Amino acid sequence: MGPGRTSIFKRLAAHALALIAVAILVSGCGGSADSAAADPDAPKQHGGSVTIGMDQEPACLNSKIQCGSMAATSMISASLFDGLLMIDGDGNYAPLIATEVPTKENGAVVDTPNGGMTVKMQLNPGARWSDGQPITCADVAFNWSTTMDERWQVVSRKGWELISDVQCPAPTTAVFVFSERYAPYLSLVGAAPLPKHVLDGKDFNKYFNEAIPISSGPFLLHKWNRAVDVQLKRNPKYWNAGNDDRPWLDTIRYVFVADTNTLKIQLRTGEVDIISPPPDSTLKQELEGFPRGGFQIEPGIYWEQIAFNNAKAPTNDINVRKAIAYSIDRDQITDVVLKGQVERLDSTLLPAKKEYYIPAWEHVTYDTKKAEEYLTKAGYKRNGQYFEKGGKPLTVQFKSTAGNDLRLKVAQLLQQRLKASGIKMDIALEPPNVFFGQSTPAGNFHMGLWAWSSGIDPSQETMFPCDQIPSEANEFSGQNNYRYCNERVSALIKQGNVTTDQAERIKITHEIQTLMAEDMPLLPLFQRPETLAYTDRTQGMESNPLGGLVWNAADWAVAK
Amino acid sequence: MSAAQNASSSLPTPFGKATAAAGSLTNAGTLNLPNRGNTDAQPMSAPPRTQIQQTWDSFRAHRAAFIGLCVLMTMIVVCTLGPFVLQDPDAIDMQVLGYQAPSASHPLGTDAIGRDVLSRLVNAGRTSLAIGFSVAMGAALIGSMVGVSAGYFGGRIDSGLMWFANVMMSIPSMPLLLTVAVIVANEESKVGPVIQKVPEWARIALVLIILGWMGVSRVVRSQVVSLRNQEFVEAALALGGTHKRVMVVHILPNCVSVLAVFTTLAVSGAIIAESALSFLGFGVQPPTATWGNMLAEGKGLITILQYWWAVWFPALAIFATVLSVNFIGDGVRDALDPKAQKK
Amino acid sequence: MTGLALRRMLEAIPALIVVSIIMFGLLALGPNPLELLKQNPNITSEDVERLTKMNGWDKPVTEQYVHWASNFVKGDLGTSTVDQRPAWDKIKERLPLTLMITGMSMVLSLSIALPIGAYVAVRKYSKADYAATLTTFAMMASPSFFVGLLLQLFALKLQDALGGTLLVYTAGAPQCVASSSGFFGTMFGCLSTPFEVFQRLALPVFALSILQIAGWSRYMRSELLGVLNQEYIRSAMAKGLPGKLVFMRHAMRNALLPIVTIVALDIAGLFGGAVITERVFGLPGMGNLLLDSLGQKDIAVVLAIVMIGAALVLFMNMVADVLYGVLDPRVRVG
Repeated sequence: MGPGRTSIFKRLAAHALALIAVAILVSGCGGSADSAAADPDAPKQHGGSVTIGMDQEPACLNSKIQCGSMAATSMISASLFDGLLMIDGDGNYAPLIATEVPTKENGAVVDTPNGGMTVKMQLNPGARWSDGQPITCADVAFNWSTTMDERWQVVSRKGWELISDVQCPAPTTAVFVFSERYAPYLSLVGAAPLPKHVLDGKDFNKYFNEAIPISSGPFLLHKWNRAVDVQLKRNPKYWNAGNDDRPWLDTIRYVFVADTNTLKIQLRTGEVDIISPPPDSTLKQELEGFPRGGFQIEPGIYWEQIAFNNAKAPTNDINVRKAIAYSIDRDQITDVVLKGQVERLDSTLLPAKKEYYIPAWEHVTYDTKKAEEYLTKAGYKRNGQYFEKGGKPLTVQFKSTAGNDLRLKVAQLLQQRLKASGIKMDIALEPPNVFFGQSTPAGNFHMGLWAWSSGIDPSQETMFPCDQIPSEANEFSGQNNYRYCNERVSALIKQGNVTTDQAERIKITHEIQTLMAEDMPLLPLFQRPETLAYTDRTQGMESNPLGGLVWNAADWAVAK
Repeated sequence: MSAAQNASSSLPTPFGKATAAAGSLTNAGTLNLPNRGNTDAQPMSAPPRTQIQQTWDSFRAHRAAFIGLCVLMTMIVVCTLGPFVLQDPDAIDMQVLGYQAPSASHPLGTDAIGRDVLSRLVNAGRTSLAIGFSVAMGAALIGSMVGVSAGYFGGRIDSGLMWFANVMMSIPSMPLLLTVAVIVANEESKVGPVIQKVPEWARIALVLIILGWMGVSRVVRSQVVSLRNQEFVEAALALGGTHKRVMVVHILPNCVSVLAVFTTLAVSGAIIAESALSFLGFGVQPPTATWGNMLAEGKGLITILQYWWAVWFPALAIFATVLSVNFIGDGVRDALDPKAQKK
Repeated sequence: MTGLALRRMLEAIPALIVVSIIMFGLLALGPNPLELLKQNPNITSEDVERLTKMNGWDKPVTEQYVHWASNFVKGDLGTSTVDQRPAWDKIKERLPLTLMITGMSMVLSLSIALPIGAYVAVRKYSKADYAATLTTFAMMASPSFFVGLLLQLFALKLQDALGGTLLVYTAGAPQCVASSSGFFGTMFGCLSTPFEVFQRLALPVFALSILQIAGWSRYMRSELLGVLNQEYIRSAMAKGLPGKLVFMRHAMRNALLPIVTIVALDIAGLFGGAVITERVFGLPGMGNLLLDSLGQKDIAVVLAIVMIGAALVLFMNMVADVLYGVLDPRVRVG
C-alpha cells in the first residue's frame, strides 16, 4: 500500500469523523426548530395524508369473521363502514345512518306481549354506498342474516340469536323483531349494514379478506400491501360529506411496527402522525417532551380491579375482604403508579355510563382503624406484625400477570399497605396465559389483579351472577371468577338485562352497584388511561375510548 | 471432506453462528489457532511448571488481556459477594416509587418502579455471569466429548458425529434458539412440568448450550485428528493404556489451549445472547434481574436521555464484561500460540 | 465441478430430513397451538374441532410429520393457522426486504472490513492496529438492539439539528417493498427510488453490518497475518519481488480464500437471523415473520422458515465448497 492510498484513507476518515462530530455537536446544542405547526383553530383544508402507527397487522380485513377478530382489523374497517348508530365524543350513542337513537321514550322500542320486543329504525334516505347505490333496509337485514348464517365463521353471535327477524316495511325503515327483551339492543341494531348488492352469493369467509371494494364510510380501501401498510383513500361519494365536503384527507395510511418504543420514536420524528401507545407511568412526561406533537390522555375502557376469591378462606369472609379493602390506598395507587393520569374508580361501571353509574365504592377509603375493626370482627387478633387466628398469621395470596410494570407496582404498594394493617400478602406473578387460562377460572387465588374491558352498555351478565361461576354446567365459560354469589344481585342483573325501559333499568343498575359495594366481591381501582398522541400537523384529533381511534376520521385534516 | 468441514478451516466461534444476528461474535476472526498450532503442537501430558509460567508471562504481556482479567475478576467478586451486603434487589423504595437519580441512599439511582439499580445490577451480574460461565462450560464439555470421540475413533463415528454437528449448524440459528426458548419458557409445553423445576437462568443457559456445542466439537476434533497418530499416543496405547485413559490423559490436555480460547469467548457470546433474548421477551423473566432484561426494560427514549442511570449502567456492565472477556480470549490465544511468541 | 455440486446436493437431502425431524419434534414439544385458540373467547368448540381436524392435531406426532413431509415434498409448505394463507405466500412477501438488507449489509461490511483487515495486518502492532482491535472488540461487546436504539436516537437528534428535516428514517420499510409485482419487480422498483431506500434502510443496514465488520475485519487480519508468515511469501520477498506485487498476487489471494467460505456461511445464517434488527427498525422481513409466527404458535410458518433457511445454509455450504475449488487449484475434491 503506497503512501498515496494511505492519505486517501486518512482524509476520508477525517471527513467522516468531522461529519459525525458536527452532527453530534449540533444535535446536542441546537434547539429544535419550529416546523409548520398546525393551528388547531386554523380553517381546515382538503387534501393531504396521515399515517397511523399500529403495533399489529390484521390477519384479514373482514372484522366480522374469526381472522378479523384483532383490534387492528376493527380499526381499519371502522372508517369503511358507517353504523346505523355511532358513539360520539361524549361516549353516547348518536344517530349516523339512522335518523334517531331508538328508545322506549320515542316509541321506537315496543315490548311485545309474547315477551319479546321490536325496534324500529328510520334510515337516512340520502345514505349511499360508495358505488352510488342507496343504503337500505335490505342491507340492514342482510347484515343480520349474514351474521346468523351458519356457513360463515362469524366471530360473535352474542345477542344476534335473539333477533328472530328484520322486517323492511319500506326501503328506509328497518324493524328488528326480538324474541326476548334485550336491554343492550343498541349494540346490535346500531351495527353497520352490509352491502347486499355486492356480497349476495359471495363466500363471506373469503370475499372481504384481502380487499374491500365498497364503503359506506368516509374512506375507501385503496390497497393492502401485506406486511407494509394498509392505504385508505377518500370516498368521493361519501353520503355524509356535509357542507364541508368531508372527509378532508385524501389518504390514511396504517403502518405496522411491532415495537411500541419504536412507534414512539417514529411519532417524535414525524414518520407517523398518530399512535395510541399502551399506558406507562412515564408516558405523559415522555410525550410532553416531544417538540412537534400533542396528545390526549383519557380514562379508557379497561378498568383494573382487585378481585377477591369469595369462596376460598380467608377471603370468603366478608370482614376479611372489607379489612383488605380499607387497607388499600387507591388514591395513592393512581397518584404513584399513573402519576395522576386518571382518578380512582368507584364502581364496576365506568363514569362514562352517565345515568347508570353511581360511585358505590366511594366510601371505601384508606382507613387502617376500620380495617382493624373488621379483622377483629372476623376473629383475628394482632400478634406482633400480623393478625392471627389459631396461631396462624392472616396470609392472602395475590396473583396477577407477569411482565406488566403497572401491575407489579400496584402489587408492591398493596403488599406494603396490607402489611401495615397486619395482613401478610404473598405475590405470585404468572404468565398471562397461565393466569387467565388456569388460575382465575380455577379460583386458585385470594386476591387477583386484572382488568375488564367495558363496552358502552352497562350489562354485566357474564361477570357477577351465581350461574356464571366457572363450572361444568357452563362449560367453564362463565367469567364470575370471584365465585361471588348473591341471589338478589343475580336476579337483578337478569332483570336489568331484559328491561327495555331506561329509567327502570337505571334504578336496577344502581341497586346492583350498591349491593355489590356492600358485599365487596371486588375493589375497583382505576380505568387504564388511553392515550391518543399525534403530530402537530394533524387537525381534528379527539380521543374517544369507547368510539375507537378513527371515530371522527372524516373530520381529520392536515396543515399544508 | 464435507462442505462444512472444509469450511471448518475457518472455524466459527462458539456462538458465532448461533447468534450472529443476535449480536455476538460473528465469526472466527479472533480464533484460528487450532489450524495453525496443531502440526507442531508439543505434547503436554506433563507440562513442566516453567511452561505454565511462560504462558502466564506472555499473557500478562498482553496488556489489554491483563486489564480485562482484572475487570472480570472484580466483576465476579462484586457480583458474588455484593448480594450479601446490598439490599433486596426486588424491594421497592416506597419513598421513591419511580426513577430517582443517583443519591446517597441509591448510589446508582432507582429504576422505573423504585428499585435500587446498584443492587439489581449486582444481582443481575450474578445471573448473567452464571449463564455465561455455565454455557461456556457446558458447551465445552459436550463439544469436547463429541470432538474427542470423533477425532480419536475416526471412521464412522467421526463422520456420523460431525455430520450431526453440521446438520445442527445448518438449522438457522435464530429460529432454533427462539423455538427452544419458547419450549423451556412455557409451562404449557409438554416438557413444562420437568423444566419448571430448573431455575430460570439455568433454562436459558441450557438453551444456549444446546445451540453452542457444535462449534467446539469441530475445533477439538481437528486438533485430536492431528494428535491421534502421533508417537506418544501410539506409545501410550502400546504400553497398555485403554482408549478412555488415553483420551482423558493424553489427548484432552492437548486440547486445553483450544478449549481455553473457546470457553472465554463463549462466556461473552452467552451474555450477549441472553440480552438479545431478553429484548425479544424470551429471556429470564422479571422480577429476576439480568443485565439483558434490565437493559431491555429501560429501552425507552425517555429512559436513555432522562433516566440514563437505569439504562447506561447495565449497558456498561455488559459492555465491560464482554469486552474484557474477549480481550482475555485474545490474550489466552496469543499466550498459547507458539508462533505468536516468536515475534 | 458439476459432479461436486451434484454430490453436495444429494448429501443435503438427508441433512434436510434430519433438520425437519428435529424442528418438528421441538415444535411438537412446545406449547399446543390449541391452548392458545381455546383462550380466545371468540373461538367456539366447533372451531377447535374443525381446526384440529384440518391440521391433524388429533393424530400422533409421527403421523403428523409424515403428512407434513409428504406435502412438503410436493411443494406445499403448509397453511398458516392465523389467517389460513399458504405459508409460502407469507414468506414470499417478506423475502425481498430481508434479502435486500442482508445483501446491502454484506456489501457494506465487506467493503469496510476487508480493507481495514488488510491494512492493519500489514501494520501489525501499529497504533492503527491497536485502534482497529479496540474498535472491533467494542463493536462485538455492544448488544445489537441497544446499538439500534442509539442509531435511532442519532437520527432523531440529527433531525432536530437540521431544523426538522428528517434525513434518515428511524423505522419502516421503503414503499418499493410494498409493490406486489413479485420478487424481481420489487427489486427493480427499489432501484428506481434509491434515495427513499437509503433513507429507510441506512440505519438498519448499518446496525446489521457492525458485527460483520468487526468479525470479518478481524478474520481478514488474522488470515493475512497467517499467510504473510508463510515461507513462500518470505522467499518471494527474499527473491526480491516487489513487495506490492507479492502482497497483491499471493498474500491477498490466499487470505481471501477462507474469507469466501466464512462469508458464504454467514450470509446463509442471516437469512432467518436479522430478527433483532428487523424488530428494532420495524422492518417486515423474515425475522419479524418468524417472531410473530412463534408468538402465535403458527407452526407451519415457523417450519417453513426453518426449512428454507436450512436449505439455504446447505446450499451456501456447497457454493463455498465449489468456490474454494475454483479459487484454489490445490483443492480437487471428489
